[in-house]
Amino acid sequence: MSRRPQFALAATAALCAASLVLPASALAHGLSGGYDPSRPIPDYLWLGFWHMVAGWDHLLFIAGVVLLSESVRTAAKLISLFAVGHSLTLLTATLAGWRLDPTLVDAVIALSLVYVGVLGLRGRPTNASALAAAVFGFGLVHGLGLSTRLQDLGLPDGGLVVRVVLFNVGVEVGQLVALAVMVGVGMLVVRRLRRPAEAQRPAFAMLTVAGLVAAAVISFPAGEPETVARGSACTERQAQPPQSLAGGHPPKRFYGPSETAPAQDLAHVVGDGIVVVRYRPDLPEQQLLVLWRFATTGSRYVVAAPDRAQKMPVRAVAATRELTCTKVDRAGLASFRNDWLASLRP
Amino acid sequence: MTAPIAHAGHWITTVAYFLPVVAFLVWLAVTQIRERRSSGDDPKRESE
Repeated sequence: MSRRPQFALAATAALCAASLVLPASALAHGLSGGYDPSRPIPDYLWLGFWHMVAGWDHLLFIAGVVLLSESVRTAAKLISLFAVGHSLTLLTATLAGWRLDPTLVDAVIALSLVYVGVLGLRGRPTNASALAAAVFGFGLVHGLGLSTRLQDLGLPDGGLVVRVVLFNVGVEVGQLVALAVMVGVGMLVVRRLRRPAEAQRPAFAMLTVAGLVAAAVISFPAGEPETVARGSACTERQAQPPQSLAGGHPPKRFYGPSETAPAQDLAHVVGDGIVVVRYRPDLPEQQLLVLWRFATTGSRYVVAAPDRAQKMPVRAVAATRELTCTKVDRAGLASFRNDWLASLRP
Repeated sequence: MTAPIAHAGHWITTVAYFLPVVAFLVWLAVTQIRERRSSGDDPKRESE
């Protein structure tokens, strides 16, 4: 058998390897661990590694690209372009604090599988430059997805670059390990197939279906979305309503970092429909000033108070919604407050 | 305790990616078994 079909067949089997080695971890896709900007710096390397190794969307795209490649050299070139693309946007978007709509980004990532699937079903692409450009472009989008997940983990203001770079290194190591396992196990599987070439079209069909189904699931989620990006630094999610309505109304709208607000009163006013903003008392002075202005001017339906126990810098709580922010983002807080108050109007 | 379905957004997308892969693997396994069985019936192949 010539080299080209052999490689293509091995690539076909690479898809099998992905599912054989990753089912358990794939179910945990997303990043392990919650919002914690104070986690040790080396953890970011591990988080990047696991995000790639457990990410079906990224792995299936890589498998599709390998399948489309005519040779190992072409595959290596395309995968390198993909790596450059996602590294570029991962670094840029995270350092610049861009937070694009995660639903849109995830849907485009799912559609990248449809692209490679349909391309494969139509036969190998003859225009290598167009394929390379598309792989690079989808790499940029995959990087935006990685950046969104990384920002969800919480990143402190100091030492940001080293954390992002470590996360990116983890992603690349994870990609190399996944590729090695996929191709290695794929070669073994191909040797056992009678007519491996016949498995290629179903493999591309599988990629197309997986991408379409995932894009549909992502684009039309059932019910209220669990999390919504709001502004550049904040994420909104559903919350449990307060259990106890004991207490009264706090006498002030803003409690300073050294003050203690009556917890029962804060819980009571959340039940009344007021937005309570809890912040870490060690926030920079400038951010405290912005928060003070936000709480004491404009709408009367906001109370801000420090919370020494909370990990996130800012957490705004309404009766059934919660907003967490990596810094005092006045626009994000105002948008959350306005939408919440609007939802209470009959 | 939160019901698992409340976190459907976390795993349902993974399932959307995962199921077609499983379907492909099942198809691959079934076709291989069929081919092996049919070639087992073929005396020409048996002699090989």
